[in-house]
Amino acid sequence: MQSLQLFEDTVVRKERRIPTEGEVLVKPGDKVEPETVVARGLVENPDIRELRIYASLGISPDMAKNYMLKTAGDDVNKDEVIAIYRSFFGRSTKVARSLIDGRIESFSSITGRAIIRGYPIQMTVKAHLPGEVVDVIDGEGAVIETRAAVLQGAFGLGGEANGELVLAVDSADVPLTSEEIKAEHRGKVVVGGSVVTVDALRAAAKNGVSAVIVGGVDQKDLTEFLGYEIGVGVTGSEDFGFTLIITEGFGVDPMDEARFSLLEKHEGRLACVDGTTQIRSRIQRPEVVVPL
Amino acid sequence: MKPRFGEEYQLPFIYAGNVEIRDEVKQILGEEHYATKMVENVRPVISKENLGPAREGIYDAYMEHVIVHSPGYDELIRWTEEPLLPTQAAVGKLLYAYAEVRAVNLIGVDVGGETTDVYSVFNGIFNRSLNADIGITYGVMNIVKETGLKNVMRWLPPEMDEGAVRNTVGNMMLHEYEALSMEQMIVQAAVAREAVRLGLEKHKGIASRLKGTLVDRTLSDMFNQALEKTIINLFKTHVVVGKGRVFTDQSALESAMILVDSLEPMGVTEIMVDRSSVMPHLGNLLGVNHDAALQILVEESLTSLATCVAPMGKAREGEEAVTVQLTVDGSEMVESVRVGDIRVVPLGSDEIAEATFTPHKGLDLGAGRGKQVKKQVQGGEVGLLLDARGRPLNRFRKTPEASKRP
Repeated sequence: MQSLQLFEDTVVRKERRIPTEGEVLVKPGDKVEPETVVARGLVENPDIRELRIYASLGISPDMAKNYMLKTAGDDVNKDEVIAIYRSFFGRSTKVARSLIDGRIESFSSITGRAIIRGYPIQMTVKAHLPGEVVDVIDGEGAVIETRAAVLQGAFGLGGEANGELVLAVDSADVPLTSEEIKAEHRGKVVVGGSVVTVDALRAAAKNGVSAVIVGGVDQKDLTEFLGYEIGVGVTGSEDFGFTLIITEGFGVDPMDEARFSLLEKHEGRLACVDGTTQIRSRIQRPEVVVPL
Repeated sequence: MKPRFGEEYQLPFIYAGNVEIRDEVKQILGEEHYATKMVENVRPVISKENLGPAREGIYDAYMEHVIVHSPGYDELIRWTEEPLLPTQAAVGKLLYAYAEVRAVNLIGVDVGGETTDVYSVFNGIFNRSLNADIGITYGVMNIVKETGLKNVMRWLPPEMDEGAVRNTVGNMMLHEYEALSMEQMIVQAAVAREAVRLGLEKHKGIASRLKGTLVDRTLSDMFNQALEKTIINLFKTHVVVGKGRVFTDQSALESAMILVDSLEPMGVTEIMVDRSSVMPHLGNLLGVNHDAALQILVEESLTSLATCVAPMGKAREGEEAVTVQLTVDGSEMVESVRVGDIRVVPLGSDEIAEATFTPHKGLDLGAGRGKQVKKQVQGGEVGLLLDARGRPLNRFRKTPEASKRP
């Protein structure tokens, strides 16, 4: 079986970049915190709507151009009138309204159709880790460096999160049940032992826990909690309120002693976790980084 | 977003439509962003389908535009004078050549960790299909998602707990085990059956007859179902080849059962596996030395597991389904199987038997109901598999009962 990484004390370098050309807000030598915005930029909105102007106005497609109030490139608001047709000396009025807030990307005078695209989406990337900026990637982001203890999990769900590391159980072979998840765990990274129950998963979501790290989870419980079956092992975009990191595997599986001891040793410190997993070709495992 | 291969990358575009408007299509697309290639029309007239040139065009585009960007390609191409072939293409070429030489209809399945590929050659027509994310390691949880746990559970012993099976499947995705436990072996065999079954279902759709045209059917066509939507005919499948780790992990009997349970061949079918994993290499060797590649395939790569004898039709449970009279090296034996049962008659890999199969009057082995079939049959690591469970299978997890050679 492939072993997962564990480092007591190592130097972590993380590339933090936006998936588009944008503005980098840090420079080499800057000290950053997990919430520091490193870069920001605009990405094209995937929300595109086609509007059949002629159909809304009740005219033939080639006539639609005569009744347009807006043209390609104009900004429009949702429900804003972009074409109007009056007939019978103004007694009958028909209009075409925008379906979304956005911009008219194109209008065809032949087909009488307009394409409206939502406004560009602002993307930002945060530092995720406290540390120092050691390099800047022009227009895209930066490299953050920090000394940390690092451990990989076998499988994760949910993206990046952070919080104070708290042990909710005494040893690696103790299950994490709903009784151990308390209101005081809000915003914290809670460590369990052999397995997390479905009630504990629900309690973690209800109490606003930042992340749960545990040895195992029953696959049936996980399916019940998520409401769907997991197919391929590509995760990270789930949004159920917290990040879940399974260190060993599915079922009741006590957390490896070395991993549990490392987490126990750093209880009270900040833990930066990422549940993103890509099992295919073993590309990416979820990880827990505890800056030292 | 940035284009994966850079902004100057030209997107391959295969035009396989009306030849009259080729110039206009080329003009509209331009040369800046598209590498346009014109191939013959996929449907030059409504009643004729011509998929070959379009397939080749897509394949060439893949070779010219995608594979060259694979990590290590530049280094690898320096090591060989021959063109590099993707695994699926190489295996497909080899299986096609093998089927052509033997003049048989063949189905090949490659159950990988991440994908399941299916190949077929029927009456000289080759098809291949790929089921992405359906495999026995990375794709194993997706098998359960696609087919449903119930379909996996039907291949497992009834005492196995559903929750435990779910966890075993999940862990087979997460971890690369060097050796499987007994429980993992049983689960692997079950999910492999579903992987192949899903792969075949998809393949049937790809290996299909012309759609959208009116086809005249004679009365005889209606009775013998000659105009089924797919060209895959399991009654006329002579050879089945299994490839992938599952066939090396599992015993010969379980490997044969995986292929029989998932493909449900009918009539008389040879069941083989490739445990050598050299088929992709042999596929490449074909271009250099055709005969040598096929010789290595037969002598070193393919292992005969069984000859499956499965009748079709209706007969009462418990009635004698098929009686087989075997002559091996001058000695004779008679074996039979009852409706609903499956049994193994030992017949070694190096043995060839003269066989006479007599089906029940309501059952068909390919020659018609109740009609005898005489055939030379090849033995294998398992032997002769007499499968009278019926088709489609409604009895699962039945271990064949073995009969003793006199």
